[in-house]
Amino acid sequence: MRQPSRSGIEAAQAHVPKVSTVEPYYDFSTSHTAALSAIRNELSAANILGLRMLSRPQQLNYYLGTARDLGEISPHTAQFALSAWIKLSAELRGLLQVPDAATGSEGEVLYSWDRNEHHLELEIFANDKAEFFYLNRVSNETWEDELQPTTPISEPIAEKIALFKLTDD
Amino acid sequence: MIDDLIPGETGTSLPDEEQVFRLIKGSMDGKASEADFSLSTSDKLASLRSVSVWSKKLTSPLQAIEFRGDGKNLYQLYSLLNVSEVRQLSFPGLDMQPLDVVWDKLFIDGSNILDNRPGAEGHSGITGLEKPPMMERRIFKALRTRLTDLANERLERIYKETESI
Repeated sequence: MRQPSRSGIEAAQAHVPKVSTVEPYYDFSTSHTAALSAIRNELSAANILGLRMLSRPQQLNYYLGTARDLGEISPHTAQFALSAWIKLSAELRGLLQVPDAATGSEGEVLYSWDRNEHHLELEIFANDKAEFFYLNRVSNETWEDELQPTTPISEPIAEKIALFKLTDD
Repeated sequence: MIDDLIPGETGTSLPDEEQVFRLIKGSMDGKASEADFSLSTSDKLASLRSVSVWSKKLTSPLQAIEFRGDGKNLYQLYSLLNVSEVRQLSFPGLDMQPLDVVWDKLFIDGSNILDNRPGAEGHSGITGLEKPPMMERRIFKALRTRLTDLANERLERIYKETESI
């Protein structure tokens, strides 16, 4: 597999926005969009190789910021997705595993957590709806709920995200 | 390229023993995601209501990327899927085969003229990824997760001509 170039890594690091917010950090045009796409490909290649240049929260923030700048998601959805992550992370006092993140064709963000047989996803739609889905791959247990941005985390949601609490091992 | 596979009419099934691939944008961690198997608005408006896949025998990943237009730079991965394994995906309580892989002939936009660009003949679709009205959403999402798991078993990078391996 191709090694990410040093220039690509440095460019990725130089454009990491602050973790606390997804501020516009690029006055982007078509050429910038192409450059951002290339940078993200470099970052993804680096991740596949297991090279951790950035902390996981930084990676998530970078991913959302780039997806926004590429026009895959709206600035509002990027901010909502980041706020959702911060809210969930705070529930576990910063010990929630940072999810993998992906964008869909309709401007949605999909977070996923996987540990052994446990799979949890949070799908954040462009219309401000955010749906949890849990699947136990062994028992086939399923569960669904919605994340309400303005109300505290419910007990069932807290139970599910606790499955993905960071541990020492 | 082996040419013993003859594309069928739109909506007809691919043989069980064939393989198809799906172009994948790649998640933050460089994996396939459930988002890769969600229907877009245009997918939902099409008569077949499927997500695009391509017959491995008839289309190469580089050819498939050319059909993505302006978005082609976003695709750097593809996942290889055995048609029979897609058809076998199920969930307790379902008494039907929920997913299928069928041919989907490509036409030039807004016409009934067949698209004859290289690789067009391999275009196919996975059907059953739009939640049927009578199916519980949790079952539908479980199927989508199982399909994503399958996609991550054989995920390959697309090497473009300008890249060195």
